[in-house]
Amino acid sequence: MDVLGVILWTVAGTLCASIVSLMPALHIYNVSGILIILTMGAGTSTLIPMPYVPVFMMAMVVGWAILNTVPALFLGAPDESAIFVVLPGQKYMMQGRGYEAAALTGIGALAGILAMLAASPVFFRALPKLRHITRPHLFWIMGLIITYMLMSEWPKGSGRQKTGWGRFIDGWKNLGAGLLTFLLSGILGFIILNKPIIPIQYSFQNIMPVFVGLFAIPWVLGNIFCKTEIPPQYICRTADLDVRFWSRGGFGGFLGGMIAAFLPVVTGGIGGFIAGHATAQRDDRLFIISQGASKSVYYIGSFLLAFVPGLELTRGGMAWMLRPFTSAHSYEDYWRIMGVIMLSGGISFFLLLLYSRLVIRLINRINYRSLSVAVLFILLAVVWGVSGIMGLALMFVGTGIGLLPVYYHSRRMNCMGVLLLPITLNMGGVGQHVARFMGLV
Amino acid sequence: MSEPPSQSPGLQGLPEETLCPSCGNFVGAYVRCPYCGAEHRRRMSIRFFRIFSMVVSLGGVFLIWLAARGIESPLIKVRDIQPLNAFAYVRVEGEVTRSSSYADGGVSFTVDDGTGTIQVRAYGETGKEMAAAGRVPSAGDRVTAEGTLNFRGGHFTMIVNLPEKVHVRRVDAPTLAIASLGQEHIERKVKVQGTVTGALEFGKGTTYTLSDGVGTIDVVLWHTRRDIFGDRLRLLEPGRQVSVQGRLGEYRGKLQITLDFPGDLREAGPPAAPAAAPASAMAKIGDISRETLKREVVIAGTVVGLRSFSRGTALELADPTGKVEVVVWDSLRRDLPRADDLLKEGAILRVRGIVGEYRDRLQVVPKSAAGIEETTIAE
Repeated sequence: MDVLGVILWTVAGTLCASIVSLMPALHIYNVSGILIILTMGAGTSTLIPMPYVPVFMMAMVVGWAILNTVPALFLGAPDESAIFVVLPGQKYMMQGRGYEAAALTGIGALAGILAMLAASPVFFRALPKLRHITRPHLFWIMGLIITYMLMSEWPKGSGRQKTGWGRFIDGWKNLGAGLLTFLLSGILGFIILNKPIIPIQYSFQNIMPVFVGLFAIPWVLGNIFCKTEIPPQYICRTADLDVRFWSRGGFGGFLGGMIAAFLPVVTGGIGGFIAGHATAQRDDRLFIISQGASKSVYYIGSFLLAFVPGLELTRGGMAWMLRPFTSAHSYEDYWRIMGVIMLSGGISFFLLLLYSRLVIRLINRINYRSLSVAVLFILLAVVWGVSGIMGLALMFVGTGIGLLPVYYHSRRMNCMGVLLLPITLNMGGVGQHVARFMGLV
Repeated sequence: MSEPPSQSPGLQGLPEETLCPSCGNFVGAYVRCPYCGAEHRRRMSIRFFRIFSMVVSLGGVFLIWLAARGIESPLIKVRDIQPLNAFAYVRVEGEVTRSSSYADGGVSFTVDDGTGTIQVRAYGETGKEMAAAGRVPSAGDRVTAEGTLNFRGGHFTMIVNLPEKVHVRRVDAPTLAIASLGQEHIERKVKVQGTVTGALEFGKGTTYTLSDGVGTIDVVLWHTRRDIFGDRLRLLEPGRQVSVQGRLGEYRGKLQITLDFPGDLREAGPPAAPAAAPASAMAKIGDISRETLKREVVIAGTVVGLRSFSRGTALELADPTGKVEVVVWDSLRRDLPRADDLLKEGAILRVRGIVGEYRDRLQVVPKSAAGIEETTIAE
């Protein structure tokens, strides 16, 4: 494998991801999955020379992890890992500081990449042991994460009701909505994982319509019906940030991203949330940097773990898709892929600033509601095109569940119950009993 | 008359209904201002979406659950499986051409539906439940299996998660003479009849020798499958006439039948008279050779060497005509009275066991604790 080839395929992967990233609802795993199946279905690549496939795919993941901030922030179409960036990011947008929020996210992503580089020797030594220790305990570790996620939302309620019962109901209204969101999304997850709701010709995308419904559509509907008007955006030349903030936010995000990358099903949003609590982050800037780092470390790190010699850990969609075509990796492979991450990360950061400027120019000229309506139609078209009418039905139900936390003021993260609940129960060996209880057998 | 609150910096230009009428802060989707607690009742879209989200989420999940209960997994032909079908939950039907089981209890079998073959796998616990419920097919059986298509290494496998999603229709193979079995029968289901003439335990299972008077064949029963045979194991005692059905394989150039299910082992007649059983008269150690392989022998001699290994003890038994290794498994040793006195150098023993071979070395393996007794040379 020559250096020039690595550089060329890194740039190609990053540019490819930069196009995919701008399309709301298109996830890099969906696109690369289709690409892998169409070009590598026979076991060898017909498009990219086989040795460069991991290089190209890693560049795609890096590009996506950094650049999907643009549609998440400016078009209000976040995926499950970007949802946390959007909340303070929208606040910045409303203050005309959307560009700064995008830049902070990118700066966080670069911090995450540097942290992964610095932690590489630890990966080699500690992760294989950590995996060996945690492997038999994943069921209850996942259970703890779910419990923490649900319980850390307490206490709630304004406390302004006149009677004790009034305050009780006021407090429980939001918590109940959170629990209901988790439960309903979990039931939906059980159904789609146990029954062929989506016609088998679209089965490769069986989870995508639900994710679009849970995370992207509610946000777009909010933009349309809350009559959000974006104020003129200021293109800043400096970020309100110092090294202490950058390293603190980057470390918190790295921690969260690695938790998410190491544990199955846990996404960057959940990992970042746990790490945010663990490192007591309160400042908006810290939060945005940390979520930028967490999101990128989650996406990149989960794929990077597949390259750690002696670890043989498959986490994240890309690692699973490429697993049939790759073998055990050497230290040389690891450092090469780390170089790919750094090169692609650098290019993606500059593309992030460029795309943010372009999109700001676009939303300053076009009515934001009209743009949101256009995004909604793109989402509908993509879901219909990829998964048919049943996909639209699942997306519709997912939207109903995804709107619960928005309009009953609980955490959107509870929607991750769609994967957390069925997979955790399956890990505990009780999934099939639940499926029987639900009459799905 | 009070003036409406002035808008804070950054909130200018926002629609009036998104701002609190009392304090002027942005309240977004709230109907009660989180800053001052004022009610904000004119939010029609919020009220609509609250009801919409509750109705659609509860009603939608219920309807999808109802619909899902009635959905049958589509039957798919192996030839038609495409890469874009990955993760599809489907059904295949066909004849099993090969069946295997793993140490962790997992099972796999290959289904040929006439258009192609696909491997169906069930991991650990599911495999154990399938075995306990008699849902593991063997070669030649007809099977219907439902599971998730998994695309790896350029080919598909089906992963079964629920034991009840595998339906097996056992197909009896025609009975063949042992001597007629050949390479053309390998990987196919065969049925033979004969008398059990010997048994040899090895690390992961037991090999029984079956003879129909003209030919002999090994019948392998793995330890992982032993428990499900229960009382039927008595049919495999030497001298019993049985009918055995299973997949024909080959190991080190010798044909062998793998026995998977209790239903494949049946009594074929009354036990053979003791006289008809292979010779078990007192033998000299020097007479033990490959000719006596799989036969029961009784030998006597002095223990001249002792070696422990992971699952038992190997004794070196010698008489004036030669030496032979006697393998005492730990399970047998536990049943042996005064084991420590008997299994020591210098002890004089009479051993009844089956002649076996391990790494080109002949050995005698007692089948039970009664097969090892203290004796004297004079005897």
